[in-house]
Amino acid sequence: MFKEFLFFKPKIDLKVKLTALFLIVSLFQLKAVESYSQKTKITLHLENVSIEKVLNEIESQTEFKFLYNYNDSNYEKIISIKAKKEEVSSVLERLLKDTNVRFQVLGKQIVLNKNIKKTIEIPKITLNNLEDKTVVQKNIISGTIKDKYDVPIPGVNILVVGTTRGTQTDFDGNYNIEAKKGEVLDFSFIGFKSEKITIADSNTVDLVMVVETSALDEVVVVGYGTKKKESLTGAIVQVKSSDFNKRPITNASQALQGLAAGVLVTQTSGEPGQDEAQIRIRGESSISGSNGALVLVDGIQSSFDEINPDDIETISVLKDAAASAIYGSRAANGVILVTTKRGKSGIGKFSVNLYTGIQNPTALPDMVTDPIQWMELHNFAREVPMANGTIPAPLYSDEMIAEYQQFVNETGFKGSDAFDALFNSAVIHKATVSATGGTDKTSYYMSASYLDQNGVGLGSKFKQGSFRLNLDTQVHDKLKIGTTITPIFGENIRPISQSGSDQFLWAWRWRPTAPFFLPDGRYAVRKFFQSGEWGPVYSNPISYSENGKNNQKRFKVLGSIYLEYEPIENLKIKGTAGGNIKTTNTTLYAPVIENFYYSTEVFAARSRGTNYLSKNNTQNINTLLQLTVDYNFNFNDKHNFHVLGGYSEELFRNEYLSASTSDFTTEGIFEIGNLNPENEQAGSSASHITFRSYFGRANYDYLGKYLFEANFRADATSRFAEENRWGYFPSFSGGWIVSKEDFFNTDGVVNFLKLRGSWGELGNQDVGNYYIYQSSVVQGGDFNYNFGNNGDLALGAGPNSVSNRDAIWEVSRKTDFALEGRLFDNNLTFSFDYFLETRFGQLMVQSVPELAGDLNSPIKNIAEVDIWGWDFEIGYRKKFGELNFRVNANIGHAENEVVDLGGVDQIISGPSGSQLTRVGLPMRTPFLIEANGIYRTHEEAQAGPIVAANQTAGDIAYIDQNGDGIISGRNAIEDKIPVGKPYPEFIYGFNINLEYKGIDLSVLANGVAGVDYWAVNYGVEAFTAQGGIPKRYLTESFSFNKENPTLPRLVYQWNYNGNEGLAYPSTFSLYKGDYLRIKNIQLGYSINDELVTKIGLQKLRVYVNAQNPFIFTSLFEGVDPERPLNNGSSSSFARQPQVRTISVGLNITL
Amino acid sequence: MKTIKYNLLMITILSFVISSCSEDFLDRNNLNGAGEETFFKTENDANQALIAVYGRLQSGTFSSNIPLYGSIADNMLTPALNSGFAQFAEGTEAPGDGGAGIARWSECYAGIFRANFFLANASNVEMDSNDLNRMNAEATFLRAFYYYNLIYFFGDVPLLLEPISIDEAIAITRTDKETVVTIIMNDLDFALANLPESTSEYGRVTKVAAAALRTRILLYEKDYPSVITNAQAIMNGTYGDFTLFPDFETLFREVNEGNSEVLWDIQFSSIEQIGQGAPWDNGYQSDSKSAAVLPNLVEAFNSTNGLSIDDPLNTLYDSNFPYDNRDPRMKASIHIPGEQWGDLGTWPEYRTGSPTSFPWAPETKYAMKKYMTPETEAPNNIYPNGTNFIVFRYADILLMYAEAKIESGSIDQSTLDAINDVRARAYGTTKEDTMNYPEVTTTSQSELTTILRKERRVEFAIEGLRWLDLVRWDELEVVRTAINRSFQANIWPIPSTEIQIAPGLTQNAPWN
Repeated sequence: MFKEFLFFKPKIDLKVKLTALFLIVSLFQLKAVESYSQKTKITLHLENVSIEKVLNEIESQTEFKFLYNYNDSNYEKIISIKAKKEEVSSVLERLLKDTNVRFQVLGKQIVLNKNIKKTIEIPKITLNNLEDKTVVQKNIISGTIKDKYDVPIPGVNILVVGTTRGTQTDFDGNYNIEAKKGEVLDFSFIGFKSEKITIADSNTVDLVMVVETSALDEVVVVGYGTKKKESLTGAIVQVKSSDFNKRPITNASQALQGLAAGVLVTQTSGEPGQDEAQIRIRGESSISGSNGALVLVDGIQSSFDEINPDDIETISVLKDAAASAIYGSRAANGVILVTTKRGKSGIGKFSVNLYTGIQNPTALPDMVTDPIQWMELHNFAREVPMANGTIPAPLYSDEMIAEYQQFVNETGFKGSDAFDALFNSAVIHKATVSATGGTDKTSYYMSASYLDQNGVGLGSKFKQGSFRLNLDTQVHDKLKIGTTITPIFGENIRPISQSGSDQFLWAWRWRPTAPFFLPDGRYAVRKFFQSGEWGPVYSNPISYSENGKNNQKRFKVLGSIYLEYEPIENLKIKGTAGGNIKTTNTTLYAPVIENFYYSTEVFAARSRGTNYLSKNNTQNINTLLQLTVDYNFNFNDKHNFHVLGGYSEELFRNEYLSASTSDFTTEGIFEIGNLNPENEQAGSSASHITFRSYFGRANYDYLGKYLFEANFRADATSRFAEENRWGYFPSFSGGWIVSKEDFFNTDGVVNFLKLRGSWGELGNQDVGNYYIYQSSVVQGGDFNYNFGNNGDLALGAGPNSVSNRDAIWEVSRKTDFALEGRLFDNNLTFSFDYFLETRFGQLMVQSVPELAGDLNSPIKNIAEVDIWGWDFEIGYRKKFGELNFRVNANIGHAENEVVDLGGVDQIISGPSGSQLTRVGLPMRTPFLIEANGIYRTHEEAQAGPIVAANQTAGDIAYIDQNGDGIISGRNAIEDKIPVGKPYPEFIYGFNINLEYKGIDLSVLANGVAGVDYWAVNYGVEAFTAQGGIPKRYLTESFSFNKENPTLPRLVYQWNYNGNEGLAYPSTFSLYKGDYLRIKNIQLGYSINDELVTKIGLQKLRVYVNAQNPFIFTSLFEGVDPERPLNNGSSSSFARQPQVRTISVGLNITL
Repeated sequence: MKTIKYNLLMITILSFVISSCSEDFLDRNNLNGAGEETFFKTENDANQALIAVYGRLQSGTFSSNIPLYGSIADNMLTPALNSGFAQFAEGTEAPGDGGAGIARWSECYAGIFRANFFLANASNVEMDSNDLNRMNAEATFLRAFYYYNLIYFFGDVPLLLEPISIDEAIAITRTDKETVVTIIMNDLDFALANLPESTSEYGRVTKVAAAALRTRILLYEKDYPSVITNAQAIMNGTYGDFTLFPDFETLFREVNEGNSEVLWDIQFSSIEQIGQGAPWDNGYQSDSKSAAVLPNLVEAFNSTNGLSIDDPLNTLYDSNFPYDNRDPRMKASIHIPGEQWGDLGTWPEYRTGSPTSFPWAPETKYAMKKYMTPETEAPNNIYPNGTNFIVFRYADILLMYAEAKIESGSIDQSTLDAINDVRARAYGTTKEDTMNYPEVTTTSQSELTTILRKERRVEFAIEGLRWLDLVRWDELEVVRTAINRSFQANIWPIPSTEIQIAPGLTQNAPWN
């Protein structure tokens, strides 16, 4: 009978099998996108002609052009050939079978060369200006290409500039190419600096190619454009697709985790579909406004929820004023620019990425589940003298315990473990297919993706299908048009409850004495019903996951279209119109679930009085109209200018509509219809906000050595009163590439060195209320009155808040100094940024005396917080033979200090007044009673400051700061001290990548250091919410470990036997929140090229991946330190735990 | 081709230019309710703004917390859970502590703000001038009522006669009480002149309400001749016919709302979803409010012979049967142990099994009954409860008249008549029926003073008048010794949270 619940596990086996099957089937269903050579079929019937004639015939039938050297072979050899709708390559193979040359297809160019070892086809970008005639000349240039260690480089592309003639070096680095004196050879090879050499008299051109880091050419996405990384003057970190695309991430915000210095990405919940993380760039500095970064996806304000991570090309994090001032009044907390993949002309590429995995909670509390032990501990905790000296009698008598023991002996019942029952392994699958490519005029990127994620919490699930089409086309020379459309459909299934994610709390408060079910399957609670049992009878935690319905259906579309006109070279006028629509439809059906006492089968409690059905719909729309003009020019090849100007208009509108009914008799219908018209209720609300902006940027550099940039934005927002609507946000920055100076020897240890600095002002207008300058007039509530003997309603209305027309955005003034460099043959890169920020004019509630009308207080620009810190990034890469090694590490430090609170001494906030915002301290510093260990004896306790009359051994010893002899409660301000660190001192991350002959291994880690959590009540105390006892009490509590207690005596949380001092916010429960998390380990294997090519693929990679495999933390067991646990608030505690995912995956490209 | 190209470009550019021209793109009003820019344009707006001035009357300070004011005097047990009252009675009140003080302050000022908001804007609305005058009179009366509720608890208070800015509020200072009294008496003159004698909407203020408030303020200001003339005007029917309601016990019940004795009451509704109910529920009989009645109040009710129970001449009182032969108002106002309560059973036995425990200590065996209705109590509990709270009733006018006559030394038959009218009604009869009630016959000023003061206490028990009566009669010391109260002053401290924000406010002694 009990086996059923003891082995309560989801049936994962079948799902895993299905996934494996899916993987295999999809693999064999893949069809190659044909390249031009594959799709081009020719029909020939030539007898007794020269090979050359055949080649000419092929040229005339197709777009192919041949390049060959007359000396290589006898092209005048007479042959006969027949072909009927045959692929070119096949024809050529037959044609050249008996010759000494092999061919190579480079896009639409076919090279015939005797040095080619085997016939291969290399996708190559089509050259735009193909010459009409096949060049057949006899002057051959040859040579050898080597690196500085004299090692030949095979596969170097060599092209005669301005022609279609090209070749590659062979395995020994040798090449031959048709070229004449005065022509220019362009040598290029990935990882090396490209070189152009003009042919002189000699027919031999040898070259030593110089390694270059990709950083030199790396292009970084900046506001309204791109820039070469080298010439940046602002603090920007760019994360590329290749940095994260192998990891199985479920939300794009995770892509940033651990990769960018000074960027802290915290995943607050492991619940599927609810995992968008909190992102903080260089700490926090706004007291009451938002501290979240502005996220733009392809230029449209959006969020990481609205993008499939597989579609991302780059993520740029703009950290300083220089980088972000162009985003004006929304840029103060930093800006994140997400750019999606777009097609490139050339041969199409089709990719499939699949993975399947199993998720498990990273941490679950270990609770006492032995029912006998639980009852004994219950009695123990109860038998403490009350304030009046009486000792309550044990609730469970010896007879009852003996009776229970018999029950245990007979049934083998070992206690019900709610964490085990509610949190289990869950599978996750994801499949993404994408195609990218294009012709010379039109290019495309399209993708489809499906994610199916079960939650580790019982009854939670997320399914999402996302699609994307990015299309660009050059309508003609000067006009380009492009569009993006991204529909995303999602369904999030959650357990029913008020907040949807209370499962953790339900499990915590469960008493293990009752099995979960009666023998007939009804929900059970509490083994015994004792009249003295304290606390409300809560419903069985499983019942909420198995009944009712809480489904969110989401539909999101982000779409845009642009038109780019280039009337003269380097002048681009671009208009963009776009929008982002999100709708969420939630159906919540909460039935009446009955629970019964296990022992008596008597009704114990119901989940709610009547059943309830609600439907609600939220819709968020934002639209953007934007025009930019971009021009670059130079004088004398020395003075380079780049200017950009733009205008934009944005509208954000949110609408909410809800309807509900209750107490209906028809079950199984999830539409309100006519279920119970009497109880129907409806409501709706809406809000809107608009922006109008002018922005611009000017860049100037002299010889690429001295860099200057100025940004400016004028922003108007409807959030503020007409006369205060416009804000102006400038920034200035400069850079000096020291290594470009003549005196600098770039061949030494230091290959590149840049100094840069910036200053600017940004705004933060995200301050809560959309209508802060308008006092709102409200109806109802205490504005109403009831005239007449029946007290009929008379509707009243009036202002309920004080407006402040003077309110404007918070201003953030940021300064940044940085040093960047590359050392040791460009293998080591580093950058160090020091930054300072003053956030002033922060909007805070202005206290207004109630005599002004007992109105909601206005907000006013009062407070100031300063923040400073540094970011450091270092990377090293090296090739040891066939071993490729890359390692990157970053660390960021930030600390803030409140400078001004507008005359207010301090602001106390948080549960039990546990946070202090005071001038001279960091914002929201823990504000706690100072504890000095645990009283060892009753006498010692009684001699201490008075907390409760019955304070005794095992209580926390508090220090009486104000010396009045008492600690007067949780909120005893005068006995509290600011202590501990509310924000991490350091955030860091590192990753290691190794590649060896097709095997790749990567490790990613991130962590925080120097942060404290006040963790009391939920998750720490025994009997929280009247239930469970964490096992660590048995070893750490004073009651069971008198020598070394780290927890006070075991006592009821219900009323603490009249001594609530055991739960005061104190330094006793201030824990170090430091952690180092191995975020990801991945081992992959790319199957041998030849094998892959044989089955028609370009690339086939399989991998195993572990997400969140390890964590090192000083926080006590059972909670994940990444979850914000501070302040004992149930809302942060009651979330689903983070998950550890072990997955296998497959990447296929063809 | 070129043409198309340039057309496209022009369209793109034009679309921006056009949208830029829309000046109102940046004007976004609150979609969920009117903003102050759009409100107060129509007569309907004016009506709603005026109703909002009434709306604040339903706050606890003016109704449901009224019984607790007996706990700072000698009528009720100091409630443990309602902060403010107990601390004040026990002398541990620190300014800023206590919900009761700050609640009275902010609820009164909320009402004053709404009245000022109405008065400042109503004249800009196009409407009938008579209607406007009447509405202005209502707002003016209500503002005076809110100030009356402030000055006798806090003394000098900030005088606001129009909506003020944040900066003005922060810079505010207190105006001396005499000035406030002068202003509100003028306001009441205006109200009296412009209010109707009756209205179709029961609960709106009428002339008599203004007259009654004026009488009460005059009494508190000890302007006895004026009290006499004002009370006489009401008694003479100048503002309508008012008489004592024959049955004292059910006078306060919802079924008798609007009876002939009520001059003005605060309205509540029992209609679910629309009404604001008064919390006259069994909360007043549970430990949640601990509003148990003190024995001291029970002992104040005379025997039916008109003698005090501790009078040696009183042969009717038998301490073995202490509740027999007592003034009927005792059992009408207070739950006495063993008394039947509707069909619920006997007090307090019927409460057994109640979800909330009741501290049935000997000193708290009495509970308030006035304003309670058996039908609205558990298990019949209907919530919200629609029972109105009577602010001014005719009996009060009679006793104010009598007090003014006695205090001013102009005792005559009308003085005795006024007291006897009230007393006879308690016995369910009229003053002529002297066989059935203990008639007052003495004309001694000192005896009448004692009689009148006791009469007020038993007639108005639990109606919230006791504290200010004691203050006016300078009898706080008596209470202090009799029931061991230790209030520090006869007025309340200004909430310190207000002083923190508006440092121009001075504090009352001894908290300053």
